[in-house]
Amino acid sequence: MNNTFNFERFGKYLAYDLKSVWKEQRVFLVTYALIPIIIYILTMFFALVGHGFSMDFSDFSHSGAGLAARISAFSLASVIFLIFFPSRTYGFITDKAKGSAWIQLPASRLEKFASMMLICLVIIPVAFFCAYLLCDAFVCLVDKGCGSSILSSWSSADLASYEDGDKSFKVAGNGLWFLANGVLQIVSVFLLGALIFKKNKVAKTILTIFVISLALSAVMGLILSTIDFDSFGERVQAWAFNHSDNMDFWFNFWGNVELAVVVIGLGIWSWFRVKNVQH
Amino acid sequence: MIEIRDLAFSYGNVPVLKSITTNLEEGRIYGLLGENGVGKTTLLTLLCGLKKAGSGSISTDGENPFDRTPSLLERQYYLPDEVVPVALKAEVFAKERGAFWPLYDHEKFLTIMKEFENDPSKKMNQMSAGQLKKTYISFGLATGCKYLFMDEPTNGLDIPSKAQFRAAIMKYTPEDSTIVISTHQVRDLENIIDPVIILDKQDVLLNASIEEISEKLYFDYGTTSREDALYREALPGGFLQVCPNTGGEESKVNIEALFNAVHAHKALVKEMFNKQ
Repeated sequence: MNNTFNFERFGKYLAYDLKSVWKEQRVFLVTYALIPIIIYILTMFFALVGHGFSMDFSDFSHSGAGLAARISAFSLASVIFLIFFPSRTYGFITDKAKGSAWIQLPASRLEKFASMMLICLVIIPVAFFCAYLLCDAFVCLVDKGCGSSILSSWSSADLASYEDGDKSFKVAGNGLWFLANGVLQIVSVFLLGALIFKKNKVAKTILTIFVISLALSAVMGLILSTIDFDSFGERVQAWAFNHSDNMDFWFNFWGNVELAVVVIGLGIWSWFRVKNVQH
Repeated sequence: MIEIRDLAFSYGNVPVLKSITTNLEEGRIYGLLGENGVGKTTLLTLLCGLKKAGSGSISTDGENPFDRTPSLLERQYYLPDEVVPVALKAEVFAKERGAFWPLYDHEKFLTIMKEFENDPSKKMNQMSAGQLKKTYISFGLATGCKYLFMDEPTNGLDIPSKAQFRAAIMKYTPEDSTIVISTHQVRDLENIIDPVIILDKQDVLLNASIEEISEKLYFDYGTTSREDALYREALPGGFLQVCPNTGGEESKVNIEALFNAVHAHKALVKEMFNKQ
């Protein structure tokens, strides 16, 4: 028997894991995905309140939230969702009773870890974004006054593009990659927090990020204080001048290196936590 | 077979188990006894790989339980004292989870549930503590595992269920299985456990079969007080006394009295049972 990784057993475990996650988290997932519709209903409800609940709609011409407001709501809802769902789906691993049952299930540690990473980093975020954006598109289809949907405005724009005269850079690829980058980093951090902390997982993770950021800022401050800014600035300028033709490549490259380091580093840490968790 | 060699475990700086060496053989139902806090649950969780040994080793058929390999997990089942009330019907829970144990028999699960007078179509989070425990016991027995570790399995069971539990253990476990039951309710399991392991602070005081115990100790249910009694308890119309079996007489082992005798004369009993 292959005790490290067996595709058949992994498939069986992934299906079981997905089913469990869906049973436990469907209300949370669906509620967040329905936010565009909830916001639309609330907007129209309060517009009706302002209209005095008159059933005469002849002069009622209120529309749902515009694109800018919906993008803001989307960003906020996404960040909150991504922060909370890892601890809701896999936080149980640190719970004595549930975690013991999970450890005792006959699948290898690598299979359990791979399933967890696949579900957290890919399946749930993709399902959430698809459902959210489809709900947003549905609202725009029902109410033409909302303007274009986030999905259609997105496909025609590079959210993180930057223009300078006749040159344009696509920072870290187009909007979709920019989004994926953010998702992978946020989920990796909060999944690790969910695996390390036994209680108040999200709050403790945020506090830890805060403390680490302060420490890194102090270290960076010390390093920067030793740098001769005049010559450093000149070197940066010279480098930018030499690479001006493929600046977008370098932005993408360093963006992806940073992403890879963060996700792989946190992934390795999560693996060791899953491997050695004890109850 | 499970071989435990010089096993030690601590919670931080507090040692719980120290240099435990013993073997757990096939075809036996071990009763793991001990006072509160001596490490019974800790030992069980070490045996099933939920904890890592501080030092020493545990070998289950040559494998370290903490490696948590699927090949070993398929052959073992751990029933904790506190079980999870999942929001699923018992039969659905058992079928979905049972798919991971190759010898799992869903019909057997339903049969045991019926014998426990437990409804498999009931959601587990709507069950009473006793019903939930019986569901997990039924599931554990239906997995067909060679190694069964149970922590206080009769806690929360009503009087008929305790008898049903004993009957199910005898009927539905494979001949070659090794079952370790940690319990304070010795009377519930007196008739099925053999051998008996008594844990003391950081140590195994006794690991002996009922036959060995009755060879070395005599359980006197008479009316005369004996001077050589290691433990004496007044009963209506007489005494229950545990004495060294110098005359090679046969008697029925009373595990509760045995436990008290061992605790009152730790060194003596240890020496008595360590003699070959």
